[in-house]
Parts: sequence; C-alpha cells; structure tokens
Amino acid sequence: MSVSAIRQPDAGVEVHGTTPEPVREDYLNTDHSIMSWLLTKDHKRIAIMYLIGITLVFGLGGLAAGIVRLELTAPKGQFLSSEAYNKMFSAHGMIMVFAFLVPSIPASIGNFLVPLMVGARDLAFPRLNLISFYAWLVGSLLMLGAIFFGGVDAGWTFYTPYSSIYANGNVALALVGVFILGFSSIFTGINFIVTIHKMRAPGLTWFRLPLFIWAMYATSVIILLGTPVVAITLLLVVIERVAHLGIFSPELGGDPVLFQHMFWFYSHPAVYIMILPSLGIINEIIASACKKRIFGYPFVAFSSLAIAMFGFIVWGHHMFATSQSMYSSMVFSVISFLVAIPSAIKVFNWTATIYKGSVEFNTPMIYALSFIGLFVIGGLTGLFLASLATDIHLTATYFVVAHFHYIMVGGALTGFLGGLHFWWPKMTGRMYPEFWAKIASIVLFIGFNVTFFPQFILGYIGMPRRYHFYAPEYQIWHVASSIGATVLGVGMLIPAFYLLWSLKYGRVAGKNPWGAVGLEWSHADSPPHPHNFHEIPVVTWEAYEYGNGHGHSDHDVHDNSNGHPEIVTVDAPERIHA
Amino acid sequence: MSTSPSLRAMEANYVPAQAHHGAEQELFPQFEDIDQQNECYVVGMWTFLVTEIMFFGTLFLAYAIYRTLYHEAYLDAHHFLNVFWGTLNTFILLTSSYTMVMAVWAAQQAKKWLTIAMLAATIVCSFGFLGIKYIEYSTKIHEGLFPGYGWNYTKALRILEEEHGGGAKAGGEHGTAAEGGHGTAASSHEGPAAGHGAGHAADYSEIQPGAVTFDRAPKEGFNAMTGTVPETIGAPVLSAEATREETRGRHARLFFSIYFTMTGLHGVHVLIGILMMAVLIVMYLMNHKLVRDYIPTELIGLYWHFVDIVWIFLFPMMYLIS
Amino acid sequence: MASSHSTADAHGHGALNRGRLPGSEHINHPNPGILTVIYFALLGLLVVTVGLYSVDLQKVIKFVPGINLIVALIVAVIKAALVVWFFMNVRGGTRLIALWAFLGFIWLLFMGGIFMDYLTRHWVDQAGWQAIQRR
Repeated sequence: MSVSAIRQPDAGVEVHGTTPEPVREDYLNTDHSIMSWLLTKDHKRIAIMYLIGITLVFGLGGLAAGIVRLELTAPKGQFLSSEAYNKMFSAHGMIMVFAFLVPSIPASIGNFLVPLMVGARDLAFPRLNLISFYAWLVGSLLMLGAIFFGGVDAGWTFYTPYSSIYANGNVALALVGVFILGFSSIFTGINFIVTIHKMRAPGLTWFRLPLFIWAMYATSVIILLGTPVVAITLLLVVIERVAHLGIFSPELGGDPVLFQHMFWFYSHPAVYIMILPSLGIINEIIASACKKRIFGYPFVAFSSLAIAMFGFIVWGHHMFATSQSMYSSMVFSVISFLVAIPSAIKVFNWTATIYKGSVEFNTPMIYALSFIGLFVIGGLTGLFLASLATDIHLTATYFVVAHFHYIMVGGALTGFLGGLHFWWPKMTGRMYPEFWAKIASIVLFIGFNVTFFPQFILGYIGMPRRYHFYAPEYQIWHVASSIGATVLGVGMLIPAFYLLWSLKYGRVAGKNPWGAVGLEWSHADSPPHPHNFHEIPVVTWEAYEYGNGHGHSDHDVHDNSNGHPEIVTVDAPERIHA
Repeated sequence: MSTSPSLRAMEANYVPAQAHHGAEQELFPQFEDIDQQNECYVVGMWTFLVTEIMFFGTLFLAYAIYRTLYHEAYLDAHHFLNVFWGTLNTFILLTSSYTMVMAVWAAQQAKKWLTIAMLAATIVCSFGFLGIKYIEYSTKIHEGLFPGYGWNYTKALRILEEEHGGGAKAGGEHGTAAEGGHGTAASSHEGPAAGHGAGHAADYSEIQPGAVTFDRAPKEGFNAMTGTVPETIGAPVLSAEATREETRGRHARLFFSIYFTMTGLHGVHVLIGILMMAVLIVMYLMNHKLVRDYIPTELIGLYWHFVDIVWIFLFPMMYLIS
Repeated sequence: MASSHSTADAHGHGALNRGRLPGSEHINHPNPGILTVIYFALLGLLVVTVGLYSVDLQKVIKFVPGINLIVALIVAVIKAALVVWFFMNVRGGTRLIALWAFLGFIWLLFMGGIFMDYLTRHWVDQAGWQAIQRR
C-alpha cells in the first residue's frame, strides 16, 4: 500500500444505516488503482481476488454440469456426441475439484479470516500468498485452455493407461495445469501452518482458538502431506504420455493400479480438504446463532485432526473393484468405517449446542442446518461404499456420484455459502438482503435434494456413472435429477445477484452485526483496516465466551484514536510458540 | 579444520553476533520480533521440504514396489549403471553440502566474502555433479537405454558384454544367479550363445521396437477403437524362453524409466539450487538489503541439504542393487 | 507494502514496544568444527556403502533375507539423519522445527500401506487354488 493513503484511523465509530461521515481507512478504500490490487500483499485483498476467481470458474463448472444434466434427459442423449459428452463431464469434474473446491474455502474465506482470527496483521508470508494466487490463476488458465481448445476426456481422475496412452485431447496440458494448482494450495497450506503456529496473539492459546482455525490447520496439514503425492503422480502420467517413460504402463509390467493407489492417497484426503473448512465454518455459525459455546470444544477440535489423519489411511476404499488384494481391501474397509467416528462427534456436538440455545434463524444458520442434514446423508451413504460387499454392487454407479455430491455440494458448497453470508458484512461492510438470502438458501436446499437424491436410487438400480446412453427405465430418475439441477441453478443465481447488489445498496453492517465473539468481530472494523487491528489484542478469554449473551466487542480494546499505539507490556499470558 | 572449543561454549559465544544481526535485519510488519520472524522462515522452509519429502517419497515407493516385483530384472539392469561415477557424484554432493553449510556459517558470522566463496564452491560442485550426470546420460542414450526413444536392450547387453568381458562378469557376483538356472539377461548371451544367440538377437530386433510402443492411440479417438482388437494382443507368439527374455527386457525398461525420472527430477532440483545460489551471490555482491541477514542463505542451504539427502538414498538404491 | 522498520507507526506496529516475548525460543547455530567432523563421518559412511556392495553379507548372516539391502538402507538413513540433525541444524532449532522436520519422514510410512496391497495379492491366488484343489 502506498504510504500516502494512510489516514488517521478512527476506530469505535459505529453507525447503523448511514454511511459513517469521516471515511475510515479500510483495506478496500485505501488505494483504488488496479496495480494496488494485482500486486497486493494484503491477505484480505488476495482473498477477494481468489473469491472472484473461484466464483468465475464455479460458473464454468456449473455450466458444464448443466449441459451434462440436459444431455442426460434422454436415453440416447440430446445433442452431444459421445466424445463431447465425455469431455463435458471431465471438464465439470476437473474445474470443480481442482480449480474450485480445493481452493474454495481455504483460499478465499480462510485467507481472509485466519490472520484476523489469530490476531495477526497478516499471514506469515504475504508474498508467498500472492504467488499462490497467481499459481492458481496460471494453473486454472492452463486447465481451462486444455478444456476449451480440444478438450480432455479422461475424467477428473485421469486413470492410466487411458490417460497416459490412449486418450486424445490435451491431457498433458491439463495435468500440467493441475500440477501448478497443486503448488497454489501448497503455498496456502504453508502460510496457514506457520501463521497458526507462530503468529497467534498474546494469550491466544490453542484451546482459545476458534474451531475454524483448527479446521484450517487440519486442512493445511492434509494439503502439505497430500498434494505433492498427486503432483508427482500426475507428473508421471505426463512423463509417460510425452516422454514415453512408462511407469504405470502395463506393457512394461507397470501396474496401472499403482496409479490409483497414489492418486487416491491424495484425492481421498482431498475430500477432507474440501469438507473440513466447511465443518469449521459451521462451528462459527452455530455458536453465533445460538449464542452458546460449542458443546465439547476440545472433542470437536481434535476430531478435525482425527479426520485429517484417518483420511490418509483409507484411500484403498476407492479400489475395492480393482486388482487390489482382498486382504488389503478388508483393512481399508475397517479404517473407512472409523472416519465416521470423528464426523459423528462433530454432528452430535452441534446438535447438543443447538439444544436449548436461543436459536436465531438467520441465513447463515439455515445454511448450517441444511449442511448438517446433507452432511449426515452424505456421510452415512459413504458407509455403504466402505463395506466391501455393497461396494462391489455400487462401485462406479450413480450412487457414488450422489454420495460425493452430497459431501462436496451439500457439504462443502453449502458451508462455503453459509460462511460467505456470515462474513459478508465483515468482508464488504454491507449486509446482504436477508429476505432474498433466506429464499435462496431454501431454494438451494430443495434443488439440491431433488437433483441428487434420485441419483442414489439410479445408482442402486444399476445406472453406471459417466455413461452417455442408458436404458429407458432410468429416464424418469434422470429427468427428475435434471429438474432439480435447474432449481439448483436458479438457487445459485439469486445470491450472485443480491450479493452484488448489496455491495452498493446494502445496509451498512457495522462492526459486529451478529453479536458474535471472535477477534474478527470484536477487534476489527468492517471492513477491516489494512493491517487488521489498531492494536494487537491480548486475549484473556476463552473461545465462544457467550456467557452474558453479548460479545466481547469492548473487551480489552485499546483505542488509539490519535494513531499512536499504547505501550502494552505483556502481562497477560505470553504468546505461546509451537 | 579449526580446533573447536566445546560446542556449548561456541554457542554461548555466538549469541551477541546473532543479536547484532537481528538489529540489522529488516523486520516485516506482520511480525513482532526478529526471533519470531526467523523461526517462521525456517519452519516455513521445513514445511515446504515436507512436501518435497512426500514428492520424492512417492517415487521411491514406486521404485520399491517394482523392485520387489521384478527383482531379477532390476539386478540385471543396474549393471548398466557405473558405480564409479555414482560414487564420485555422491562424494561431490556431500562435499557441496559441506561447503553450503560453511556458507551458512559464514553468513551467520557476517563474513561476506567467505560466504560468496563457499557458495561459489557449492555451485562448482553442483556443476561437477551435473557434468557427470551428463556423461552418464549420454552413455546410456548411446547404448540404447533411454526408454522413451531408441530403446534397444540387445544393443546395450552386447555393449555391456564387450566392455566387461564375459568371463569376468559371470565369475563375479553374477555367477550364482547364472548357475541357479535363471540366467541373467547379461549371462544368457554367453551361455547358450551357440544355439540361441543369433536367434535372440533377431527376436529382439523384431520385437523390441515394435511390441512396446506408445503410439497405439487410434487417431480418431476412443470410439474408433471399438470393434478393433488392440494390436498388442495380436503380437507374435514367442517361445517360452524368448518370452521370458522379452519380459526381462520390458522390466529393465521399467527400471530405466524410473531411473531417468528420479535422477532427472533430482537433476532439476540441482539446477534450481544452482539458480538460487547464483542469485544469492549476486545479491551479496550488490549488498542487497535481504542478505544483510543470514536467513536467505540458511533457507537455500536447507533446500540444498534436502537435495543431498535425496541423492544419499538414490545412490545405493539405483547403483548398488545386490 | 511500505517496508516498515520496526519503529512503531500509525498502524500500531508496536514491535519494539512489546519487547522480547518471553515464550519465544531462538535458534542456535552449530560451529564449523563439528560440521567438519560430520562431513568426514559422511564420507566414511559413503565408503561403507560402496564397500557393502562388493561384500555379500548373506554368506555371513544367512538367517536374515536381504541383509545387504537392509544394512545399505540403515547406512543411508544414518547419513540422512546426520545431514538433517547437523547440517540442517534441527539440533539447534526449536521444537516446532523438529516436529515438521520429522513429520514428513514419518508420514511417508503411511504411504507404505500401498505395500500392504502388493504383498498380499498372491495370498488371494493361493487361497483360491487351495479351494479349487479341495473340491
């Protein structure tokens, strides 16, 4: 930021309904030039750039999904050739998984909130954060280029030997794109790990952290330990395809199943990269809407880490129907069941939190409640797929498709939207229109279920995934699913409109519209100052301390209206490192 | 080599120097104090190295799995690697690691020219490493051992035989295996040469280039494949022994695929290291503000030691299969 | 980003005011003497590695299969550990550094679970064959 933009901060001005008269300096108005955005090292601006970027690619991925759903309304297809259909669902999968879901919450909402929640002025490595964004941009553009100029029909899983030898199209280019996207998330992960370990405000011990931070920490661990594995695996496919050094090639005695092992070693934990941040967001929303401390805080915190750990040792359940040994499959099946335990801990603790809370049904809470329901359905159908016998029947059917959409859309995306609404006032300083937001959240919930519940039935009665043509008796369910997809699409468009509208016309939110606790609400303005806090808070209270029904908006705030920080001697518990 | 006082005393002596550095070092606004900033950087580098460990670890795992599956083919194939060059390269890399760590030490002591000299020595070592790798690679490619293009295992076997002389090889560590009934690919050429030698060579020349190719993708897309039998299935049926030999050849090709991938990626890491060290030297020469402090040197040092560790494992696993 | 030196400015950068935080550990650095010793130790281990190649330990120790590979790996691990501990200065670093330094190596073992598959695949064949033979 240029030095010229520094104005006197006047914290404490809190005006509802009208624009505050003396313009408070925040990260949005501090400098309006394009370059100040493109070269910014402010985590909040990078988060906004990420948010815009992932929304755009989400639109593209959703478009591909819409075309696939339209195509499937007739048993012999509507207008696409089979090859185009293959490319379409591959495009949907690749865009949604690699360019949208993996970076979605960590890179946008997480990027915005992690320093605010731990009481830091920025992430540990702001420059790396910017590099991460550009890595995302380059990787996404390469992938989109591969999709638009020729297409890729290998599916988002890129199974060998099809992807490495037989597939046409720009598989290598798309893989290079995914490789670079991997770097993008690795950089974000490094930043979060170091920031959460080393940059917490004085007194902010691990068990005073918001549960969102625990979730982001677990996510970052998965990113760091998993992403390089898929990066090298996909690189090996590129090498095999381009330089003909066959690693997985069965012609040389290589094992294509080894590719699946390595791919799922990342890609199963990657599901937790998508869902864990959502789980974190739901904690914040529920605590704020119920004005209660999350029941069983330490258990919820450790369940995030447990999910991250178990997530790494269950990859084999994607391969029950391959040449994987039966004995190995049994072990993977058992461990897969174990993942249900930490997930259930979270759900039960949320339920216990809501119980006897003064629940406020604002939009984020509606998202949170629909999240819980959808997550439970998605999680429990996962157990069908973790059992060996049923999985043999259900492998590669629409049942699997429905299951992971319940987790990825019903879970990750719902959490993302809930979090976006919850922190929208913090990010933009404006409230979204509550009425339309509620309408949209209910439309989304209905649309989602109408889209994906029929797919459970479809899969159960035997419709394989990724098929272009199907037997006529499946048509009714496909049509139902496509109708639901239309509703879902409308439900997605409503927030796009009213959120943009609210940027200009929304009610001014004020510092803490929800009466929530947490450093981002109590100690930072909306939108926050470029350096987040006027004074780094010294935390002397526990997380979610809603005891008296009000937040800590005036807790230990040292206003420095004259711009000079007070001298704070560290008398509170000292910053705890490591 | 300096006669060192006890380590603890050295470290105790060292504290003022570090404090001196801290005062000169730029503190970025997001940090509270210099210790926090330094630890953040070191931890950040380590977390990055964790990703590198997983990156190379995956390759090692692939190597280990195929080695378990095709141990004999690996044993044969590794004879094409030159232990002398490998040992020399290990020595060079260890030395470069030593010069690197001395560069870090010099940087901590604010000895600018010693730092530059040590970094330069590291770069010289790494070029030596890459030079030797170049010699090795070009030899392999000439012998027909690059799996991608111009793969010709027969030619390579013949060259190996000519170089080492049949008797010496068979009498050495090979002997037991050859007597044990599974003649290694190398010795099979000595033993049944009268009856089979020529036939084998003919088999290889027919099969090797043809049967194992990667350009099988039908040009019109996957749909065009329906109704046609993939050509591999229609390949000529060979005698049992020829099939075994051919399979050996394929597994050897797998070994070399992994060899070139791993050493190649390691080489890329060496190149990146050279680049970073060169930039660091330039920054020292410019008296750039970032190198007022030792942290950049320390971080690049960490990276460089990691590259060294990868080679420490690569060397015995590739060159010294027993 | 205006590169701010650690003086306090209008943004409340109270870095110097806060003083040294008592909880922070700092990083100790090794001296060149010990590094040189480690360097020669590494060279010694290199000689051991190459020497192992020409010795067949299997003739001496018959009851452990693949003893040569095991010993070679142990030597490699020792070498790597020396580099990590001394050259990469995990020894003088903070606990957090040590945690992350070893996490990667440990996590790799999880991936070794892939071996579980490859080592048990032939069990299925054997069990199947026995079932057929019994019939």
